[in-house]
Amino acid sequence: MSGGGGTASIALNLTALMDILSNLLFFLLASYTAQSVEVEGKAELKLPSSSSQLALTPQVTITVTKNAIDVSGVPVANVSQGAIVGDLDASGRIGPMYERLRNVRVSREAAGRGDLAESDLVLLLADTETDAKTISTVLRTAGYAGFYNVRFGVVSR
Amino acid sequence: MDILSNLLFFLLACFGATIVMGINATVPVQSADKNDVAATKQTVTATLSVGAQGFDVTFSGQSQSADELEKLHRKFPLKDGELDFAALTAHLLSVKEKYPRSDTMILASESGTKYDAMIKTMDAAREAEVTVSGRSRIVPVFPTVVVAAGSK
Repeated sequence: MSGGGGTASIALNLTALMDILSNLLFFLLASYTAQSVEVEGKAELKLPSSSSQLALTPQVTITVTKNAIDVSGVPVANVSQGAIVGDLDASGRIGPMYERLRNVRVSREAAGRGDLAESDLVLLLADTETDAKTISTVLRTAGYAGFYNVRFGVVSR
Repeated sequence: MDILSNLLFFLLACFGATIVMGINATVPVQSADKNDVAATKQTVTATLSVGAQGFDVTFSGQSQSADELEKLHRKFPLKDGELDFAALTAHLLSVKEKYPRSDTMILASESGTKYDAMIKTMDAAREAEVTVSGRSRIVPVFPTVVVAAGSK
């Protein structure tokens, strides 16, 4: 009869676990780098959902949150209840935003990148509750600054 | 092993971040040699107004008579307090079948309309699901959007 009071020593084989973890790691690394545009989580920005499958590439980004409008991270106007706070200029543009976008355009042209494909394209990330009038004003300002094409950022459904 | 596990959980957290897609549109610009109004018999340009009353869709074209274009004019009031996207898609699809080379829609949104409604309107106009020979497929309807910069 075998057995007894001795405690059996069990060695845990970690090789299989390491393999699984490594595979998962490489898969996630690949997925993470494949994602072209990452949107920082902002409490004041909830993007609308859409059935569009068009992937994004990095652009000049205009962000319209519940409180502010910024161009590539630089604040250019304030927003309250979906509408722009403050006066527009005589042409119906947001002055600081126009200046900022013009500067981007001029510096691109100075660097010889003014004629590149999609040089007149901006990415617009706007909160779902933003008023259409605000969107129109933002687009008008972008158009005046030479950015005629817009790509609306949306969350894939 | 610890490092690997930490990396894994970090990447899992990142992987859950929002994936952003895009919808292309243009802003109207003055041009001496280009015109948004359709110029062939198989083409019309839709002008869609979205507001608190619902949708109002009209069509323009250089090769169609005013009567012919007026017959395409529709208003879609709110249905149960919501915009009637299904009816809009159905009408745009019927126009697309009649004028198959059409692809441009001018979107005018009244003040008070939410951005979310604009996006859903573009979705409703962009493509539709049709059944051909028993097979369901997605076809483009009016995928080219010009956002009218002047809002009422």
